[in-house]
Parts: sequence; C-alpha cells; structure tokens
Amino acid sequence: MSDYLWNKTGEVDSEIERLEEALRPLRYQPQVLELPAHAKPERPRTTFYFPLVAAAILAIIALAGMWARLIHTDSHKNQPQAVGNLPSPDVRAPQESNPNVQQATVTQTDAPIAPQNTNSSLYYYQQSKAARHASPRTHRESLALRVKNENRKQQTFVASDEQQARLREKREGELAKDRLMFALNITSRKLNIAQRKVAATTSHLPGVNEENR
Amino acid sequence: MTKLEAARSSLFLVVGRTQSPEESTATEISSDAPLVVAAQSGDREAFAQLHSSYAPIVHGVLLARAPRNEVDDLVQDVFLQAFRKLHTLRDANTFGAWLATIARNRAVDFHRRARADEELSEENAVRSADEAKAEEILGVIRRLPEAYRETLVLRLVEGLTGAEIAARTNLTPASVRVNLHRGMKLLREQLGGSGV
Repeated sequence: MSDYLWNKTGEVDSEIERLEEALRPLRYQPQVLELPAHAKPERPRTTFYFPLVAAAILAIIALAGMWARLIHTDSHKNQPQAVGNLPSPDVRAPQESNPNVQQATVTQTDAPIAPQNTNSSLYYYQQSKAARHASPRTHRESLALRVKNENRKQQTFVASDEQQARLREKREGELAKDRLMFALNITSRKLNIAQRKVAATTSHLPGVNEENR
Repeated sequence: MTKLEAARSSLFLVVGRTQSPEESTATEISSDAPLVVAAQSGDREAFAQLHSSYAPIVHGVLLARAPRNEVDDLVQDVFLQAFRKLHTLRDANTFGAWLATIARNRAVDFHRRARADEELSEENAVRSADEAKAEEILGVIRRLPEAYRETLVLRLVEGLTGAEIAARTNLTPASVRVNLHRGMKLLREQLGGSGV
C-alpha cells in the first residue's frame, strides 16, 4: 500500500488526491460544543446501589434471626420445662393434727409431675407407716393400693404431657422455619428486582466499556 | 505541575517498550486518558478538549451512516450523551472506541425513528454542484462493507492519517491498514463502474 494512503507521505496518489478534494465539502467544520448548563456527568448508579442492597440484606437477616429467636424463647416459656428440672409437685399433708391419708391432696401444677416422685413417695410412706399403727389392716391395704394407683396415674399423665410438649415444640419449630423461609424468599425477590434495575440502567447504554470492535 | 500534566507524564513513562513508528504515533495520540479522567469528575474544559480532538471521528462515523444534513446535530447529541454517561467508561484509554460506539448506535437510533417525509426533504435539499458530487461519492462509499466504509470516510473525508484513525478508534494499526487497502480497492472498482 502506498504511504500516501496511510499517512499522506511519499509519492502522491492522484486518484486519492482527487477523491480527497471532491469530498472536502463534507469534512467536519469545527464547532463549539454546546453543553446545557445543567448537564453534568451522572453519578455511577451501580456503586450507589450496592451498599444499600448489602445493608438491606443484613438488616433482613438480622430481623429474621431476632424473630426466630423470639419465637423460640416464647415457645420455651409456654411449654413445660425439661423433666430433670421440673419442680416437684406440691404435695402437702393435711394440716389436721390427726392426719387422714384419704384427705391427702396432690396439687398438680401446669407442669407435669415426675414419675417416682421421691417427696410423694416419702409422704405416702410416712403416712402409711403412721396409719399402720393407727388403722386396721383393711385400711392399710386400701392405702397401699391407693398409693400404687396414684403413682400409675401420675406416670400416665407425665407421659402424655411430654408427648404433647414435644409435638407443640415440633409444630412451633416448623412454624418458625416456614416464617424464616418466607422472609428469605422475600429477600431473594427484592434482590432480583434490584439486580434487574441495575442491569437495566447500564445495559441501555450503547457500547459501555467496549474495548475493540 | 498540574495534576493533568503529572498524569500525562506518568502515562508516557509507563510506555517503555520498543514500539514501531506506527505504534508510537498511536500511543502519543491516545494520551487523552488524563483528560477523560478529568472530564469524568465534571471538568467541562477537559471535555471541551476531548470534543475538539474527537469530533472529526464522531462526524466521520455518523457521516458513513446518517444523512448529511443531520450529522452536525447528531454529533452534538453524541457528545452530550457521552458527557452524561462518562461514568460508565471504566478504561479511560478506550474513550475513542467508546465514543465511536455511541455514535454508531445513535445513527441506528436515528434511522429507526426517521420517517419517510424526512428522507424526502433531504433529497429535495438545495446543494451546489461540488456538494452533489461529494455526496455521490459518499453514496458509493456507504455501499461498501461497514469496516471499510468508516475507515475510508475518516481517511478521505476527515483527512485523518491511518495512525490517527487507529489511535482514536482503538483499532490496531494493522487492521486500519488492511481496511484502508481493501476499501480503497473496492472503491476504485465501484467508482470505475459507476463513472463518477
């Protein structure tokens, strides 16, 4: 290729020169750039959005965590405590000077009663011992049977209450899980929307950061 | 020494490898990165300097695609859009290519919106004989493949050298050389056939 076509040096190519001359009327005539007074470079939106999105995500996660923790705490407050820590049933002896075993009351609180409750056994043992000396044989037998039945009732009650507590805990756990999943779902959708908006603001620009054709 | 001068001198220090004459010319021409950085921070004077340097390129790109009487307005549009969206340019060294792409897209957008009556009004515009001949040759150039069309307009109409075209459009000098050579060959054939 001639140097004239490349950089206008060397031997002049008459045809190229003729074309240049013919096309000269179309050449750019220097003009002053008229930028409106209010025109200014726009702020980069992507860098503006990212901290907001990140802060929103953190806030939502923190709220979801607090929510789940709150629900968990509430469920523990409402449900009976662990069996090992349960308060012993309030077993009170009748206040009469001559205690009557049949009048002994076992006050049951909302909490389940532990099986083989030592206080209860001790009380009935003491009562039966006292009655053995003061009562006829039939009464003693009746008392022993009564103690046995009472213990059986307590065990049945405790077992059913524990099951209910477990079921209740499981239900509340599932509910908390569902709520957390719902919150995460909302977060995910919001992130998608934000991402689409950011993509839309940059994609409509022609040739953004295009290197070479 | 101003920040602009310091940035410009550091840019030349970075370019230390052995270069061909074509490449070194291209590097010197493309040292507008400090101006671009200044313009990105809102410096209107820096952007005005970029406008005076790159307006022929934008004019040439648009002239290869859009009606001549619309080109001046389109040039203004392109620079206004570039000024507003300058933050999206991450590499200041590719300003020329970025601007050329905006110009190409603006031309496409113009054709999409243009109506038939506007085309007719251009056909009926009063022109001198020289302008008519110039537009006739330009019409032949516009029928060439896109890669040759743009390079030939920049060389023959805007009067830029091959090195300047390479530097300001971020094409390699070799690509520009090939485009000029093949485009000129095709143009000669077309002009010979059309009798212009």
